[in-house]
Amino acid sequence: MACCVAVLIKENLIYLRRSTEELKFLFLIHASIDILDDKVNQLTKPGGDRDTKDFYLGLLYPVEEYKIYGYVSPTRVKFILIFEHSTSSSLKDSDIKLLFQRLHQAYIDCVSNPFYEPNTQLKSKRFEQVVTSLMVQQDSMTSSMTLSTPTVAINTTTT
Amino acid sequence: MAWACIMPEELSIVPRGLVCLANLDTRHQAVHRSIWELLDKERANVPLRYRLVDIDEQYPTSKAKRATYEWYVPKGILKTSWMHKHLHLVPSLVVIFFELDWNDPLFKEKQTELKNNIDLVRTNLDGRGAAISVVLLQNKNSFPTVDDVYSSERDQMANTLCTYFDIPKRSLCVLPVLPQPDNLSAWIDRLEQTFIESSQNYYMNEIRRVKKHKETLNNITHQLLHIRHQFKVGFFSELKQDIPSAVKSYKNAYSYLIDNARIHDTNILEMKIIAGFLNYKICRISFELSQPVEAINHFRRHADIFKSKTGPVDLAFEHKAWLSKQFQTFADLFTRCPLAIQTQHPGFYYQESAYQSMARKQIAQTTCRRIEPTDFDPNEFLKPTEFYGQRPWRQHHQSMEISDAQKEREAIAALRDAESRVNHSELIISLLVQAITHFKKHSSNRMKLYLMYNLAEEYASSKDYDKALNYYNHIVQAYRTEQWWPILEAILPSALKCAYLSANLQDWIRFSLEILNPNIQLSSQIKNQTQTNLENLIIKNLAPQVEPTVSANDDKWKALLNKQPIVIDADTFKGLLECKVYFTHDAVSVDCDITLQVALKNGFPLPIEFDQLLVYFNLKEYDDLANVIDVEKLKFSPNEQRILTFNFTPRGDHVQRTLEITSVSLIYGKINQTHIDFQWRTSLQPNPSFQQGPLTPKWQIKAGHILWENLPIRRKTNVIMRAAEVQLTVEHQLPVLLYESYPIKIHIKNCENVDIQSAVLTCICSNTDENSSTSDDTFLFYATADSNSETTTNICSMTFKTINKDTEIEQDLYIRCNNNRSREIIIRLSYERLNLHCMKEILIPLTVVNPFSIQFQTMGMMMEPLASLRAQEPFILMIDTKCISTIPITIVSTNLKPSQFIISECAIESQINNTQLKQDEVVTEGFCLRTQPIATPIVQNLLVGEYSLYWKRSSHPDIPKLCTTFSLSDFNVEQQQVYVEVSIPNNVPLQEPFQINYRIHNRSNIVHEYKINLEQINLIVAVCGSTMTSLLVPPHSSSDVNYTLVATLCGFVQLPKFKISMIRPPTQEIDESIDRTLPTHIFVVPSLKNS
Repeated sequence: MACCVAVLIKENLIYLRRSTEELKFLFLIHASIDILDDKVNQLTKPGGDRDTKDFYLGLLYPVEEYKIYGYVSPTRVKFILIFEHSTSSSLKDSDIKLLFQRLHQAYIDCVSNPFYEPNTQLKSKRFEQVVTSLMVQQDSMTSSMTLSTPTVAINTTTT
Repeated sequence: MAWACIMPEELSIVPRGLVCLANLDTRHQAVHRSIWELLDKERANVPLRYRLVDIDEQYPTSKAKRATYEWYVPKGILKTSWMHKHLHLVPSLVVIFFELDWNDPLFKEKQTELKNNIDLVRTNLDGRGAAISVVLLQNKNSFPTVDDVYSSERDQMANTLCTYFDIPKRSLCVLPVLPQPDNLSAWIDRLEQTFIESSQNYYMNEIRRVKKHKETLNNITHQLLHIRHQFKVGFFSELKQDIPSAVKSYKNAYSYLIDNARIHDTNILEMKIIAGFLNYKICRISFELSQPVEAINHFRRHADIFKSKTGPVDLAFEHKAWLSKQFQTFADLFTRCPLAIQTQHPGFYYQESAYQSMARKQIAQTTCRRIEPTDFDPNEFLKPTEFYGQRPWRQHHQSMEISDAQKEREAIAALRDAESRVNHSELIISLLVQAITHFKKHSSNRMKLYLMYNLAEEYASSKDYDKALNYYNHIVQAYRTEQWWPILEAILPSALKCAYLSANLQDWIRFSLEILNPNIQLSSQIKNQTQTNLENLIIKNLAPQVEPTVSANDDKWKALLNKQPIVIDADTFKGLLECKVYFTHDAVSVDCDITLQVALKNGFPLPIEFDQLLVYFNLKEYDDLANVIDVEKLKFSPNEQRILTFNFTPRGDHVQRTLEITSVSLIYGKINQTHIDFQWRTSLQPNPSFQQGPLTPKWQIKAGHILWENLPIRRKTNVIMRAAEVQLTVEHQLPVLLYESYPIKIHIKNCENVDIQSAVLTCICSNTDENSSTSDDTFLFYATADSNSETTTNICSMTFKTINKDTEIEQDLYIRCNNNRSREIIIRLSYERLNLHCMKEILIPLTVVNPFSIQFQTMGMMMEPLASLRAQEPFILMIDTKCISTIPITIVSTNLKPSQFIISECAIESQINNTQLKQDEVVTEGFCLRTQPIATPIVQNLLVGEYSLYWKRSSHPDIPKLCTTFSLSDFNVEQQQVYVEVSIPNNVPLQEPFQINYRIHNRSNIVHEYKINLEQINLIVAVCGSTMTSLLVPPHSSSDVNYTLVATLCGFVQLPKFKISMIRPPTQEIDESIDRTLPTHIFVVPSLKNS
């Protein structure tokens, strides 16, 4: 599934998990900021009739090997998921949006911790668990997965 | 490696039908030349390509077409010569130009000559289906006029000629252009139309011919022919300008190749190359038809399908080369399309092309090596082939097995040899540069950085270190600004190596410092080595040590080590070395010391010893006062922070100047040798805007140790005057009343231990309201006698000659405010003491209010309110004065000055002299007045007069009174027709007769007759004599009616009711309101008994 998960505030990386220690992921995430910023600016232009609750920004970069998807929270926290080109062909936009929403929820839970200092690295076991579930999940599961069942996902990963 | 990258020029030429022009002598004949030039010139959308040929031109011979493909095994898909042949050699039409007039005397001879020419061309065409056209160039005078266009005679001759030449009639054209052409381009346009028709006809036949083969083909042995034929149909369709059919045929060929063709190691190159050709054609046409999405989708599919078809492992580089070329050609095509967007533009394809080339380079470097020329001749394996994509050493080979394994091995070695000679870096760099251009154009600067990193690596690998350094510098700076440390960790070691190899001292030091930044999580071994190298270089003048894998560059480095200051902008090296400056006080009195603290924090991984610390100020006089040259004070262990404190006195002439730190400079290394100069400038500023701090405060970790984040920054301090040792107080009672001379008592007490000489007291009004630019609404003065003098302004000052020690003096200040704005008064006492300027200042805010309000109203003589005055009739003017401020006021006197329209009935005297009013108290006075006659029936806005109030603040009886004047205006006056004036005693004794007199005024221009009746209501007041009478009154005069009455009861009793009505003129009525002006009651007192 996802081979890289990243969370950014402005252009600062506050969370990163890669399936392999490849430098390429870092460059790609960094390069995605351009597109994310641009897309967010376009969406929030005055006069836009879009629901500003959250932004699933879809495919960002059509790089050969990977597909990079972006999502922005109402407070402009950026979430990036990278999939390998070969595994992601069966993924639908709605599935990816669900993945992002789970990630977003996990992020909210994590920053709600009073001991978390804003804008610093995310260090949370629960968040790690959710990310792990995103990275190992099988295609078939994603379509049936909903926001209300994150515990199921955690169980599958821990067993 | 030419085979895989081949993209023949013929493929990229836009196909246009070929027309050969024979017998045109462009060199000697002007007319021929202009015909050729018109046809040959660059025009948009011309479907034909023209070529000049000799009449005996040899055209490529046509092979015998086989009737059936049974038993036929094709040797390959597409011959390398085929496209060129049909673009440039095989004509669709041959046009023979010939000068022949219908009435030429040598008609027969020329006709025969022409016939010979035609036959020659026909022979040379040798079975090719090209049409032959004849164009007769004729004298324009012999050309038929409009009347005989269809001259049957000429028609006949033309028919005969066509039959003789054996060409269809359509192919014979006449061009009347000799000796000098008129309007040649119009003729040429018409001529070209017939060419197009013939040419397209030819290609249609060709397409038909190729298509006819299809039924005879099978899917097993004739796979290649299926593809070849579809390609040919597509190409002919393009020549025919039938673009939709062309795309369809190319797509058919492509899908046949993908779905049906057997692809194996021996023919994979041929298949890929043909697929690449077809893809190129399809994409190019899609872009030209403005269907970029179509093109992109097709290319994506193409790339996805073939990416995995690597082919023989030994020739993997060939596959990468082919892929790279595919991406590059697609990007080239895309570049021509204007519809690119940020997420879909040619840059991505150049990028991928570059990556494929990098992969190719890597494979080539690991697997390919040169071969000894003695082994065998590699050129044998690299010569051109008959078919695209085939191997020179086994052309036409269609079997899946390799027959000669030895030959195959030699061939692969030869190909690898050729590959090893390719300059991959050059290729990769040009692709990356193109990609960068596109990413820049589509505002993707961060992606650009990624590509620049690739570019820098590539330059470094091709040993072009200076260029690589250029890029490294840029990207390191960019990633540092965005604080992407993980990327920097990866980049910096190679950047440092690059700087070493190019012997660039400045960059080497810079990258070393970057590596030493605590944010960079490299291994401590690397970091320690880096710092040691740096120390060796700066302190001991030794060239840096490098890993054994890097070729040493010591000689160049030795040359570098002379005196050279390296200036480092320390603001950007956050974390490695930090500096904070802090003036302990915001403002320093000129007789005190300035205290400056400079805090330094060291992030070097090993202990470090700096040489000098220099602090620079905006005032150069202080530059040397805060320097450290004591090395002991500048020794830092890792993560140590230290605060250095400096004290110095400000200079007397810098009072009211700001002292500001411009830069701090920390020097590493001896100043007269190569040293590093860390300079802080911008980071010395306190954080400009709101900084998002953590919600939880960060506590001191251990006693005496202050967290770096909590250290304050203040880089400016103001030098101010010595504070004056005096007490300055004021006594006054707010609010200020508008226009009054507001008294303030200033108390000055000398607290110095000596007498104060020549102290200056200055009072200034500063407007709190910024918008108001008028400063003349406030007047300040020390004595009330000055209040009306011209010299008073909003500033006043005076000098006290001596203020004795420990004494207190008083001074009055008066302020007059001319409007209601609030304002501030600055009271400042200044004097010289010990040659220093001393000053004390207080600020008094003032609010200004109105002291009182005035209301006035008019009443008739019976005290009834009047809406409007009546001309020539008396009225009463009542004036109410109300105190509205909290300050009691005294009304000294008042004065009413009637205007010219008003007569006063009696002497006007003020009735409220010396009245004191507190808040909300009202004082009223009334005046009886009469209006003058008026010219018109109604006069509006009559000015009654001016009312002046003389008043003062009750608490200060000695300040002069103030006069406030109101204008009494806005009265309406009406002229009444009739006015009854009544004379009646104020009171009458009981049972004694008294007189009552009614004088009736006629104010109109005509005679009036009235009926008058004094109606008896009760017997309390009895009327003597007749009560009813009539009365004649001339215009503008009056008549009297007298009654004698007797009262029979004491008290305030009702009078008989006086009634008046009009007899003449009968049309007029008397206004009923007249009743209200008449007295209705009289006061009856008991009679004096004893009189």
